[in-house]
Amino acid sequence: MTIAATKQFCTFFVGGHYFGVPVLDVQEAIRYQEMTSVPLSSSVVSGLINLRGQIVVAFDLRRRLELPPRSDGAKPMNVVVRHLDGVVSLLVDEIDDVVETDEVTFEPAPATLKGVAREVILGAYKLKNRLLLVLDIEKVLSIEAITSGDGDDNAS
Amino acid sequence: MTLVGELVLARNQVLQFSATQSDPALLSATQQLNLLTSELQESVMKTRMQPIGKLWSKFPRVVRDLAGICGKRVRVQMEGEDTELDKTIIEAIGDPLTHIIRNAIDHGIEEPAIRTRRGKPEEGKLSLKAFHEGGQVNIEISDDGAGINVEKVRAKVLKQGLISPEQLTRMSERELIQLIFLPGFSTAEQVTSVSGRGVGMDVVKTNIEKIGGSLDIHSELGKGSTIKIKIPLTLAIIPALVVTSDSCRYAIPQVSLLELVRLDSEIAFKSVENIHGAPVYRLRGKLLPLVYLSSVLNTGSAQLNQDVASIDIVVLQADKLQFGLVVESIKDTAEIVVKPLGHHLKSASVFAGSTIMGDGKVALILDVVGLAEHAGLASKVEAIAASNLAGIQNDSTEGEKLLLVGVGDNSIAIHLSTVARLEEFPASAIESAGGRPVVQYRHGILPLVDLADFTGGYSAFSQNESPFQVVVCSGPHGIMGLIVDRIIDVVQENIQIQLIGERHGFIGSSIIHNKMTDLLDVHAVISSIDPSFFDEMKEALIGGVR
Repeated sequence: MTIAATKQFCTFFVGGHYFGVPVLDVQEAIRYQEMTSVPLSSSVVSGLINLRGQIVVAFDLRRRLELPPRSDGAKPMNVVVRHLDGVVSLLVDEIDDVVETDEVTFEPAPATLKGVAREVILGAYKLKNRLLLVLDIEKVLSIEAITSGDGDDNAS
Repeated sequence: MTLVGELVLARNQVLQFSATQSDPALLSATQQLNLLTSELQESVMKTRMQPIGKLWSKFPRVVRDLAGICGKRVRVQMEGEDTELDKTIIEAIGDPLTHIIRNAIDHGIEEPAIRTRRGKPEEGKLSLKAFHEGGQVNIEISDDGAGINVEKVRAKVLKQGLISPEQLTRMSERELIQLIFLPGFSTAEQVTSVSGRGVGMDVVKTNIEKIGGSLDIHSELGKGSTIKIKIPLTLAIIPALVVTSDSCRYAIPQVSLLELVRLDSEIAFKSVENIHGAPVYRLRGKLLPLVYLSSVLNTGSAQLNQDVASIDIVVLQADKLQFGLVVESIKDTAEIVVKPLGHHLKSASVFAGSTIMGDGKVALILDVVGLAEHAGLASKVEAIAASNLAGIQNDSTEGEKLLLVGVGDNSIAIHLSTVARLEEFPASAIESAGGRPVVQYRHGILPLVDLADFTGGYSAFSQNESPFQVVVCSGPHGIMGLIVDRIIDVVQENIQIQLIGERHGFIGSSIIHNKMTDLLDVHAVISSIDPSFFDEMKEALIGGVR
């Protein structure tokens, strides 16, 4: 078994938590883009952005993780990730860095995790000063989970 | 192809930007760019066009093979093979068409023995027809087979539990036929190598809808069925109308657009009426169900605000259904490039896709059929029809459209087909030419005829200083204005004409809305003016110019 000893993660903050997704899944990270809201869609869908002529759906990670909404005026940033045969954007509070992690410091999510966090968090890397929570992009963007949020509150 | 689409988008952006600039060099450069892009787009489109016959050419063989397997005799007829379609569309409709044809042969056309018993020729007929209509391509596939047995459909749907019995009892025959598009539906008694697996018409329907087309089925038991497919000429770039609702922009494909109606505030609240909470508008005497875009999309206030200056209604055609979409404002028309929505928004049937507007922002494209479904329009229309039956006349679907006008105490009906416009002129506009009253109308001369001369009544027009109503009619020699006292209504009715004495200028009389009404013979009225009148007019005009 030759597993790479280190892995690289693109890290960002959402609601005070420190998350990461494998850097190879990330196409780019960009500043706030103007969005067109999509009525009647799930509340997780924030809107559509124009990414150099390509229309990309933006998902609000705060809503997906059932965290309180961003304070007024705080503009989210986009982490554009590859998913299925296209790209989607994850809205995060702040983009941090690309972090190299040691496989030995990884620990799967504790059984005490509840609800949506249990679904989407694969586990944590114990960094020196904090925990890096690894998101399972497939689960985060699972169509069932997102469309089941349909009609929650469509006010936009 | 996608590149051309992108180019068109980029051009739109440049155009929008240049409109804010005043540099003449930039303007002429953008105009040049605009022209070139349009030409390029056109020629690329042209090269991609292929006749549908190319696709159809394999069908006779498919039909023969299949007919052989099923022990039936089928003749294929084709019409409009040279109808051209975009290459991608030709590719996309190949499988659905084949499926429909297999269905028609397997389920539709009967065995020769049964056919002779039913008094039909032994050989079944399957006809394929393609033609252009209003920016769309229509394909009709019809067979002269057994047709769809509605009872069988009903029983099968119940057995398969696809729909609850309560829902089923409320369905009309037409809706029942549409049930064959349900996933998992099959009427075939047993599964054969040809069909009966339940993966059928729903796949056909989704495939057709995926390329922006629509599918409709008509069937008559014992006579055969016809499937009508409407598909856009091309996928990539479509003309659309841009509207707003709650300050968000939406694009409506122009193929489903019928007309735009704007109601000013004073009349808006009077003319939008309610039938059991469903808003309707009387469009030329027919009730048009209204749908508020903001309430369908759940984005804002569901009801009309009293302080809105005017209402804009976009009259749309969804399948067989017409409805009015009330939007906040109507912006512009634009050529848009359709981009599919991501996997996560597939379930939003209200949207057909998205596009990038001139300013670089994203706008959603409305799916008119989905919108009507989402608004629950089918059920509302039924409610309206029901309340129609209860009260007002409902049998007005057939009959003639008549314009009712009043002259003195008489009411006169004019065939709407002869009426070009209704106008109002101030009394001071009347001038005289060639001894006749005329008005200047659209840079031309409109000769006037006072209808009171024909009714023998007394018209208020000659002395009155107030503005007068004119019905502009088109006749054999040009247009002509009929002076009337008032415009009453437009009705659509089956009239029975009775001749009561022979009077010049009238076809006869009838009772419309409980009132004796004379039916005007417009041609007689116009020709009652010396036919050379118009020539004189011309000469007078030329003389005047000299």
